[in-house]
Amino acid sequence: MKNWFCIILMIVSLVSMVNAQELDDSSEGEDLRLTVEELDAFKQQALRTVEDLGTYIKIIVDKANSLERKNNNVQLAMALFATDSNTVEISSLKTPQKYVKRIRKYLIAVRDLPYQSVDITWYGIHLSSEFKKGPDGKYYGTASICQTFEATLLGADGAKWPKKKDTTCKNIQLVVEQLNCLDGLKEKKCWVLKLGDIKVDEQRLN
Amino acid sequence: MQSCGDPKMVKVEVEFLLPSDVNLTKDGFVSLIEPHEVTDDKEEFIVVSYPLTIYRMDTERKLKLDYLNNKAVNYEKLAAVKRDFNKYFEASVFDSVFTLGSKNNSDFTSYLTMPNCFLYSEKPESGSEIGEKRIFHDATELRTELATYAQKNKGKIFILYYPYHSPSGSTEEPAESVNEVESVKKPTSTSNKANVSSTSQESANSLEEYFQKLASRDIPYESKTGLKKGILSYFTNDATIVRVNNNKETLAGGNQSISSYAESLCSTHRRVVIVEKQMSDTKISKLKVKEE
Repeated sequence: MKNWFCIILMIVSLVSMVNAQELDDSSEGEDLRLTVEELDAFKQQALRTVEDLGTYIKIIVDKANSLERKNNNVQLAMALFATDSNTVEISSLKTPQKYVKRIRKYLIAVRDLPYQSVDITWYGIHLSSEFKKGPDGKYYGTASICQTFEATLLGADGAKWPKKKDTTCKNIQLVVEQLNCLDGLKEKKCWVLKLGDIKVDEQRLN
Repeated sequence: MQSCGDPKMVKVEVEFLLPSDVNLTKDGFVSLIEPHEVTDDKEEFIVVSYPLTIYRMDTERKLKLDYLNNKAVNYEKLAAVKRDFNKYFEASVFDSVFTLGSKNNSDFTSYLTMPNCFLYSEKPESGSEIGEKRIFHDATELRTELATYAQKNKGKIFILYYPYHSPSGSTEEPAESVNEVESVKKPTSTSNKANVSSTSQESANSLEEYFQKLASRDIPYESKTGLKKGILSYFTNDATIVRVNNNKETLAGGNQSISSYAESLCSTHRRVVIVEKQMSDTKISKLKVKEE
C-alpha cells in the first residue's frame, strides 16, 4: 500500500514539473505582462492616439481639403484600429435607433457628407476605464470623447440652410496586445496599442 | 451578349436610375418633391447617392437630377455625354451602347452592391470608390473590365455615370464636347496635380528641420509634398518610427513607416523631439521620437 502511494506521489510530482516547465517556456519567449511604467506610457499614448483620430476625422470632413489629403487621413485613421472590421456606432437625433458601420465605410461616409460645410470636433478626451488584463493576455481599456457635429447645407437657391448641430459622446475601446514588430532591422515581440470599436455613450442635442 | 464571331463583343445596356423623391416636370426636367434635407439617420442613403448625378435618358427625353442644387442641364450637354459614351464604347469592343431602359423610383443604391454594376467617371478627382464600389476613370480600362466580365457572366450590365463633384458643393457639368473626353484616353494633369506642381515646395536641411516644417501650421499642406519626399532620404526603406512616452517605447497601430509618420505630422502638427537614432550604414533604421 505504501509503495503504491509512493508511486502515485512520484507521478503527480513529475506531471507538475512538466507543467511548470511548459509555463516557464511560454513565458520565457514572451513577456506577457506590462510594467506599471509601461502601462503609464500606454495611457499617455492612448490619449494622443485618440486625439490623433479626432484630428484625422476633422480633416477628412473638411470640405476645404483636397481629396488626396482626405484619403491620406483615412489611411492614417485606419492604421490606428485593430482590424478593418472594427465598427463605429452612430446615433440618430430623430430615432432611438443606432446604426453600426465599419470604420472605413464610416470614414468615407463622413468624407462625402453632402453639406456645404462640415466640422467635427472632439473634446473632453479622457480614459474612462483603466487598462486591465483580459483572459486572452491583452490589455483592455476605454477612452471617452464628446464630439460636436456642425454642418451647413446650401439650398437650391444658393441660400444657406440653418446650421445643423449636435453633440454626441462616444466610448472607444483600447487594446494593448503583443505583436511581432520590427526593431530596427530585427523582428521582435512588442506591445502595440490599437483602437477597437467605437460606441455611443450618450447623446444630447444643442 | 452579341455577335458570336467576336467573343469580346458585348451589348451594354445602361440604365439611369432615379430615386423615389423626384418628379418629372412638364419640360422633362426633374425636380425634387421636397427640399432634400439630409439627416444623420439617412446617412446610408445620402452617402451612397451623393454626389452622384443621375441621368435618365431615353429617345424622347434627357433628364438630369442634380441632387444638391436641383439644377437641370440642357439637352445639348446631355447629348454630348451620350455621344462621348457611344464614341468610347462603339470604337472598339462594343457593338451597341445605350440600349436604354427606364426605371423610375428605383433604389439605385442597391445597384452599387451588384457585381454587374460599374461606376464610371472621367474625372480622377471624383475619388477611387463609392462605398466599396470602384470608380473607373479610364474608359479603356472599363471597356476591358466589361469585356472580361461579360465573357464570364450573362445578363445586363449597369453603368452609373459619376461626374466630378467639387468640394464647394456644386456639381460640375458633364463633358460638353468630344474633345474634352479625349483627355480620358491620354490623361492630362488633373487640377489637383496641377496645383501640386505649381505650388512652391518647401525644403529643409536637417532631419529636425524636416519634422519642424512638416508639423508647421504656417506651411500649406500642398507645399509639404517636397518635404514628405525629401525626408525619406534620411531613412532606410524599412525604417520604423517609435514614439517614447514616460521613457518607454510605445507603438500605436503597429510599425509606422517614415512616410506615414510624415503624413501624420501634417495633420497632428505635433512637435517632434528626436530621442535616439539607430543607424544602418549611413541611414536611420529606427528612430525614437518624443512628441509634444
